[in-house]
Amino acid sequence: METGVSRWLAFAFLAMLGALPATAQEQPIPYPHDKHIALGLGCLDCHSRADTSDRATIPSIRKCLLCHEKVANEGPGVRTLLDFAAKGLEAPWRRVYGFDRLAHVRFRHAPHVRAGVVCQSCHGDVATMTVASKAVNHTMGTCLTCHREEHADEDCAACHY
Amino acid sequence: MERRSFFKMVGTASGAALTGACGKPAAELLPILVPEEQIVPGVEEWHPSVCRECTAGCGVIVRVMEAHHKLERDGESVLHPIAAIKKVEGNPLDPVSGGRLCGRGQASVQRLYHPDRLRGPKKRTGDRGAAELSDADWDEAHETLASLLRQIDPARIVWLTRAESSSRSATVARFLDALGASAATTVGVNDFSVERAAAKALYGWDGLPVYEIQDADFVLSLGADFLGGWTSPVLYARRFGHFRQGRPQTRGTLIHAESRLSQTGWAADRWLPVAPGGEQDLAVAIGNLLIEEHGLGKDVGEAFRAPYTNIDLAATIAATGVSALRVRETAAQLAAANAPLVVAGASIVRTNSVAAVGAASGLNVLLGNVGKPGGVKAPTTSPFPRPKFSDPQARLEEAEIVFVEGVDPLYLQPALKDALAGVETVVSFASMVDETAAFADWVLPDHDALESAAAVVPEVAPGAALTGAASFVRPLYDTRPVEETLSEIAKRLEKGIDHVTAHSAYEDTFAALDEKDEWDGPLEFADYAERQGGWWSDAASSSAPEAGATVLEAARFEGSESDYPLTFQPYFSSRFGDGSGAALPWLQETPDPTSSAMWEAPMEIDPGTAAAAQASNGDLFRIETSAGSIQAPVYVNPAAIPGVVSMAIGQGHQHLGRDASGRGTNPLAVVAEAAESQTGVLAFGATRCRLSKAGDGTLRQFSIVDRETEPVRL
Amino acid sequence: MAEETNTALTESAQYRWALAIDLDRCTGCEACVVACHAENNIPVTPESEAAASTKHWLRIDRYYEGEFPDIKMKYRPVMCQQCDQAPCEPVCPVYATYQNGEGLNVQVYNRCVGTRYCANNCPYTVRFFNWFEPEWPEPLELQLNPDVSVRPAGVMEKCTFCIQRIQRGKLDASEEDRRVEDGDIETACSQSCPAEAMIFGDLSDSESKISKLAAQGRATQLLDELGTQPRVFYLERAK
Repeated sequence: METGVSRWLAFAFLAMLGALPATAQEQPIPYPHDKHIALGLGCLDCHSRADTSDRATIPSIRKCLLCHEKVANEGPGVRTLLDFAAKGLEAPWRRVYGFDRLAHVRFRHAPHVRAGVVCQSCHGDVATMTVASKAVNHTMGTCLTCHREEHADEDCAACHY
Repeated sequence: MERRSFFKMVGTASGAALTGACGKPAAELLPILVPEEQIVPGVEEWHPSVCRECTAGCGVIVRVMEAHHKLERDGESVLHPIAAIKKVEGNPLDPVSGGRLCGRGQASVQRLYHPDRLRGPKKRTGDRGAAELSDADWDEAHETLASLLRQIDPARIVWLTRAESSSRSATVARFLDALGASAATTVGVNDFSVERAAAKALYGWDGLPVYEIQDADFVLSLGADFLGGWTSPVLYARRFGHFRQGRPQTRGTLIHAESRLSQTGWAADRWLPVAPGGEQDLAVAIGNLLIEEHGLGKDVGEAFRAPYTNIDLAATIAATGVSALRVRETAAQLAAANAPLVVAGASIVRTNSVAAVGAASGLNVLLGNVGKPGGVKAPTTSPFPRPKFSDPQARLEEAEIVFVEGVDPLYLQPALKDALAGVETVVSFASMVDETAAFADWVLPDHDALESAAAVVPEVAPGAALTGAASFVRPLYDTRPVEETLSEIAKRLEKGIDHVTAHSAYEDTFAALDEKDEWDGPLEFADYAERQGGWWSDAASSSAPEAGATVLEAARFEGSESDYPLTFQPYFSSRFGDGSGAALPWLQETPDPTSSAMWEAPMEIDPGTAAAAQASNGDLFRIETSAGSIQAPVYVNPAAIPGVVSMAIGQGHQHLGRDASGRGTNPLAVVAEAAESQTGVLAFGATRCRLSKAGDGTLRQFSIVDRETEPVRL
Repeated sequence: MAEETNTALTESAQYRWALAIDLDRCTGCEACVVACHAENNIPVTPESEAAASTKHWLRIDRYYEGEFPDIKMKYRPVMCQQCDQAPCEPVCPVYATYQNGEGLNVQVYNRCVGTRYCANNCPYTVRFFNWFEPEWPEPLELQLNPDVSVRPAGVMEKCTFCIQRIQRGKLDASEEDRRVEDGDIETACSQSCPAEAMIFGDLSDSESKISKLAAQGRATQLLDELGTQPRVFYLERAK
């Protein structure tokens, strides 16, 4: 076996344990989840569709402006935000969690939330993060392990079609 | 990750990592604009609308979801999240579509997002017909047209359109009225002027009769390919399905008589191959048998019966092209049925089609089914005007300005080219450059149908119907609804006109409602109707017809038999309709129902003629008529009547987008200038032709194997 | 609690999806063909490759019977028959196609490596291979159905009985803690058919329309002598 492959296998094994060190994604604005959550915001206040639809959704810049147009708008982060807004642009957030397009995964948030899966199980302890980082590596193993334990659908076609 | 290496590496570990380790760099991210509306990604909304691909007026519901539209803004590419239309389905509440939809309706979304749609108003820079257009300004267009109209004699203002009765036709009527101009007219091809004229002459009705196929037990359709297109494909197909298998004790029998094996012919229990022009003879022969042998029509006046009885039966039967056995059998079946019905139409128009359709319609009077369940019913009425036919050649010759909307006259009657080129100002409202728009001085693109707000009165409907669309997506481009353009022009002429809208139409309907108490007032009612996609109610009972006698006449054909031994028969197909369907790639790709050909429309010839001409599928042949010649690939159709060459209409555009332009040939380009004698519309089925080989070729058929010769246990 | 809310899904093995096509109602109009393209993100095959590889997941087979003038055209919509004993399944070297607990012959795009052995083995010729990357000239991509994967080059595809609608229907039903009811789920073809010739439903529900139609004397199956056990029933034209 080539070195590259055995390193890859080790990586895969660790990933299956979910024990990857968090890798932060570089974002256009250093949005601090911890500050906002400390102020009392919940996940669904911004990612408002997680319990009702397939995609949790990232909020439009309009949501941020609801507060930041008037308050806490001196810092560099918020000033960058207001710059985007002035140009009529959404903040160009970079995707943190997701699947390769060629894996054709159709993940749906709503049934998971309804089944009682808390956001932290898959997204890590966001309340301690500034920008979201990939605390949990989603591999098919991660999904299947939980599906087996919770007696959820293991059919390929449940997610890949 | 390369598939082959993935296969090597993973081995048998279950649940092995598929994602994240691929090492793919993040895709290039384009900036995203803040959308105007809150459209939630991944969540669908459904909105009612009306399909405008043909004039049947099917109510639809449209699936809307977020999508990212790539735009240029200040020289850079950005993504604009918009409400995008994903799918069109029938509106289950609509009595015409009943939640169902034909292929053209399904394909209509490709017209909305067609890459060759005009993105703003244009004006002509090159020669007429060259389609060299430059960007124009709406204000400039309105101002120029207003100043032109200020000076033009109103008698020289012509508006050519489709036979649609809608809030659009009503607003146009107001505009033309305000100018003192005459009403909008149709071109007379694929607009059922023949059927309307026959209904008027025979029943005294204004509009298209409605056939209650679903409650009949025996139907003879004579000349009307009601399942392959015709007046209302979805409604009649629904009714047909019910006619066959929707009633526990009754399975209806359908006999179809037409000069080609059309879709209605396939679905029928028997196809009677009527000789071209023999439609009237068949109707008269059957009428004769019903009267003389089956004792029907006793309560109908002598004048009405005379055209059926004052004939040489044997000669008439011989002229039909159908065997005497089958003619007698059909008459006997009609006489014996509990609920017999004759569906009379002219899918292929001959010089005597009004007489033929009248003679066939008269059979319903003899059978006594008019206004009865399973019979023929009076047309629905409409609060909006329906444009009527008036000879376009004559109109264009007198016109100083012509407006063209919802129709492509130069495609349907290429011979109009010179008359059109001679008009000072030609204005088209087409969303894509079509044959007529290529000649226009101004192309002021209308919104696409799915972007429009309108109310349409379907001409063939179970009752009174007003099917409407509110607008629920922003227009993709800088297009304007025709109503708005007319308002702007009228304003500049100091003649304000009010639009007729779906909402105003509903409000007007409110006054006559029986169930008025259910709403607070017209506005509340109108909101309700708008939300459900229309207002539909049962028909008022049909009045007994004023049965008028048919005036018979023989069909004539252009071109001598010795020069042109074959008959040429263009027909309107369920794929392309009036030809506008050719723009849509899904329809081009869908195999032709008769030949399975894709991306082309072959000429269909019978095996005997093919053998004599040494023609096999795909060979390029020339059709010559007294009006010119065209070339098309051949399809050897085992069901073609010997000596009859049929060809679907729809290809042969020079414009209309990348999928239609430069493709195939337009059979209407070589029909002789024969007119239907009572209406004056183009008799496109009255041309004789001859064939000659132009080259070899293959037909692009969607067949896994050649299926024509396989025996089958079906 | 997890078990309770998931019962609708774990009991999914009990659904038995099937499609009935009433040939006495069918008019061969091809509305179903276009509806399928619109629903399933099937790319338009350019004309130059059309004869070889147009992906009509649903086609209308046509046959002539008899001789003019007593000639008839017989026609039949054909799509993946979702066979219980599918010849395409055992020949896939990577298990990219299999029958799931609900009777659907599932095509897993991300497993497929493009050997095309499955298409070779299918007696109905209903499997299609993506020889090219799909393309949509702008802005036609706005019409794409987000619920359906866009298949890349190298992958097989075929009729899925609109699995996206089935999964959506099951999800909606589970939100209301109930099973899918007859009529809740329609495939794109069955929804569009003007003659109401196509009926989709659950054979495990003895009261469903499909169960009643499949039991009728007119019901036959295509090439059943091969032992494929299709899930598509054709109700033959009555005489």
